[in-house]
Amino acid sequence: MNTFRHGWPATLLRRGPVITLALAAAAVAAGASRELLLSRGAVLDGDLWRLATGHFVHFGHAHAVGDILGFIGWAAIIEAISRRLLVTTVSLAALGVSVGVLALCPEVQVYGGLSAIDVALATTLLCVLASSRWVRELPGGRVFIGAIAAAHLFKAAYEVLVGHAILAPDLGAGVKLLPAAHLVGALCGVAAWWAVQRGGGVRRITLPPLGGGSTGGKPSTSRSMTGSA
Amino acid sequence: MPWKRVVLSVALATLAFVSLGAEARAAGTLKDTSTGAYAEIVEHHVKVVLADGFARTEVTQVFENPSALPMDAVYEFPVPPDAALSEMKIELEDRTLNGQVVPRETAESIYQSEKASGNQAGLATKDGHQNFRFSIANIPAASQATMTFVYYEPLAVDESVGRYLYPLQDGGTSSAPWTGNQSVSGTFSFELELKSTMPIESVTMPGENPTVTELGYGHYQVSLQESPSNLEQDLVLEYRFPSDLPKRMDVFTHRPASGGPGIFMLVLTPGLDLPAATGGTDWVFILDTSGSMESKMETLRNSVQSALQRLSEGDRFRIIAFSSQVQELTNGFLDATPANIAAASSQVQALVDGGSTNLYDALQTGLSGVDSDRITSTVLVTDAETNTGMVDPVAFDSLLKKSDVRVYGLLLSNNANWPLMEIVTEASGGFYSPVSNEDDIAGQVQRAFNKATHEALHDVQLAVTGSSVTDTTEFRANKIYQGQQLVVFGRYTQPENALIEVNAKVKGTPHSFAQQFGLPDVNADNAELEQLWALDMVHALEKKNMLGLLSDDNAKAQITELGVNHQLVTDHTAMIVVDEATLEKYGVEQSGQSSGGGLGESPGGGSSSGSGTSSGSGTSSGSSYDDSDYAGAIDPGQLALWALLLLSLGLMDARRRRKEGA
Repeated sequence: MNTFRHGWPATLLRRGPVITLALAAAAVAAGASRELLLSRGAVLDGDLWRLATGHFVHFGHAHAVGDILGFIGWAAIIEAISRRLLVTTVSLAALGVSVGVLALCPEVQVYGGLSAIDVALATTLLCVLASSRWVRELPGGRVFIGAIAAAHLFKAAYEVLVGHAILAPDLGAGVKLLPAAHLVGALCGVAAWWAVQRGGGVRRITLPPLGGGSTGGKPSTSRSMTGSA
Repeated sequence: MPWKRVVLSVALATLAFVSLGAEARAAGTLKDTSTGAYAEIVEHHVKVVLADGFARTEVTQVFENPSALPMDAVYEFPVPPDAALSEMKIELEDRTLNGQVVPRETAESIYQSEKASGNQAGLATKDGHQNFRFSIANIPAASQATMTFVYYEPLAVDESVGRYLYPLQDGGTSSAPWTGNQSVSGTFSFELELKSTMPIESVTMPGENPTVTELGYGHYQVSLQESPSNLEQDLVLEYRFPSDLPKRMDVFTHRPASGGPGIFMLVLTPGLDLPAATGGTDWVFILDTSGSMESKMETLRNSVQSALQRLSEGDRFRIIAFSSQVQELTNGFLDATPANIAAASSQVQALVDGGSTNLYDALQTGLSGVDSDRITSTVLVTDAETNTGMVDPVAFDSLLKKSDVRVYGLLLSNNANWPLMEIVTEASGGFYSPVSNEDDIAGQVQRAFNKATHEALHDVQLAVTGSSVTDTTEFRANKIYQGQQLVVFGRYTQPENALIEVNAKVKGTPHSFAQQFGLPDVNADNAELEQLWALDMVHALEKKNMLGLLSDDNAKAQITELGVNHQLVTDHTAMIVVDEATLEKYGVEQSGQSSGGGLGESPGGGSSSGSGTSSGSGTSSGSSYDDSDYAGAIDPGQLALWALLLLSLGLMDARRRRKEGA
């Protein structure tokens, strides 16, 4: 089985998730620094960097572990597929979620955490999977991905409607969950996927199979994204 | 000769200036804003009730306008930290005016309009952390006006000592200096009733000779009367409980029979005998010698002297003085030997005041050169009226969080900038203690020192839970010190048994405590809790605003709403004092909100439920207010779902390949 010799797992192992680990390290370094949190008052006063940095700050150990582990998992896979896609997704989600939170949630004064970017990355990955020939050619592959996407969307929408997470980790005293940020993150993930395709002048990002083979086995990078019918 | 008149004028002006500068500043002064003349204070009466957990202070002053013209007057009063001004009444010859809290702009507009029309009106505003300012327009000529106001403040016991301060000394830090006639020509009286559910060993007023009468178990009356009197010195009352106070929790509630949300106040006495910290400590003394410390230099010298004497063998110390510039009195750290302490004490005694206050640079200097192998504690003695260099609270917060040094603040003067000191000490994991010139300085320093030299409860997590409990006090500091008592407010909407849970550590060893407490359906007592809770919320919003975590507009909107709804004078709300007809004229609705049963009545005594408990505490829980922090979070289910997805895809791919291979 040459699963780990070709395809995106091979790319992941060979090239190394440099950007992913750098961003994860930034989140670890940011810790719980309140100077970096997304703060409505501070942003209005000109601290625009908080629009980006707020996502890297966490309110406690439990909050940080889930968010950073999720980030490493999703971002590493996307980085292996395309660094350009990763950078676009993270950038768009960081700004989009921050602006979305400030615009759509007037009650929120302070926001932090990587989870909305995680959701954006997960959504981007779903889009890539759903649109790839490889998954389409798998027996039941599209149905399977569609079911996952539906569950993903249902969870985000349900949490927005009821106002709390289905499985809420303990974020510590005085910290509330904001499901709306995840919904905005999901939209940013779709937008990033769409933008990279459009920007590359291609219709679809090609995801090679786990072991290469049917689509040529060449690792995908931002340069190797090709259109597929 | 013209030159003689010039010389005479200069001499008189110089004399006036010198005498002005030498005059002790005091609170309680009423002056005519247009002429600068001073109204005579004929009577000044103070009635205080100290119930468990909070104090109600009612001040009545009778002023006389001796002139032949109506007078507009301003009266200033230092704001005790966390005090809530809730009621005000002005009695003139033929009418009585009552206060109503409205948005500040509205109150000022009505006041100016009435003043311009020649009508009598009053206005009470709060000037930041410094003063309550009472303005009275058109006091009739050659007549008397009686002004009465009430404020509430929470009380906490520290090291088995309770302390109440009636502030009269002005810190001299007001941006608009004012002086005046602080003497009372008639009678000054101070009556205090102390009602405690715990036994009291002694009641004292340093520097005064009051009449103390024990009325019953934990029930005392303290009286002081002078005629005439000068309102120059603070009145400090200390009441001491037995040193072996048991661990206990007192719960005070209020919920009107008419329904609606109830309020509770928990007073937690951890009663822990925390072990003394072992090993030598490095002490950095940072001393404010700016001009605003003029009247407090003696207190500063005594405080440092007292602290130096308490250093132990193995300790080291360093002394930094600052005003506009920072000056290091010791060249780095010195061993705490008798000779070094004596030399340093002499240098401290020689310090003189002058210049502005560059607190940030002083802290930056004090936090540098720290030996990472030793525990370093900083004692900051200041009025924290920082006005030079960096003044942004966010920068202070950031500076302190970068270093592993605890800052203990001794805060001098009544209108000192305690919100900034709170940010500085909280960011470093330290604490601050207010100190008055009239305090038992040595006792105050000893209490502060005891905290610094004993282990603290750390990693404190506190939660108050109940199905209808909301809006509890936010507790961001994660330490509780020796002898510290905590006050926690919250609201509830239905009778129930709520639960308080405290988890903390002492030197890494977990200590936990949980106790249920009852929240009754109806309790007409303790109506003032409503305002104390609202003030607690206002305080939290102000702190967030100072730290840049809440925009000015948002903070103003929320504080205004709380102030108007709960009749609190804040930075954004003010109390307009007019008659009912005038309120109607301006379309101001009367809230009817009144705590403590109205002016002239005592609060309904504290209904407490003391109970033995285990170890210490902290506070906080989710708040339904908008001051919560928000976050998204990746839950384990999401991660599991994705792991399953990728695994499934892999298996499907492998299966297909096998088929293709076959």
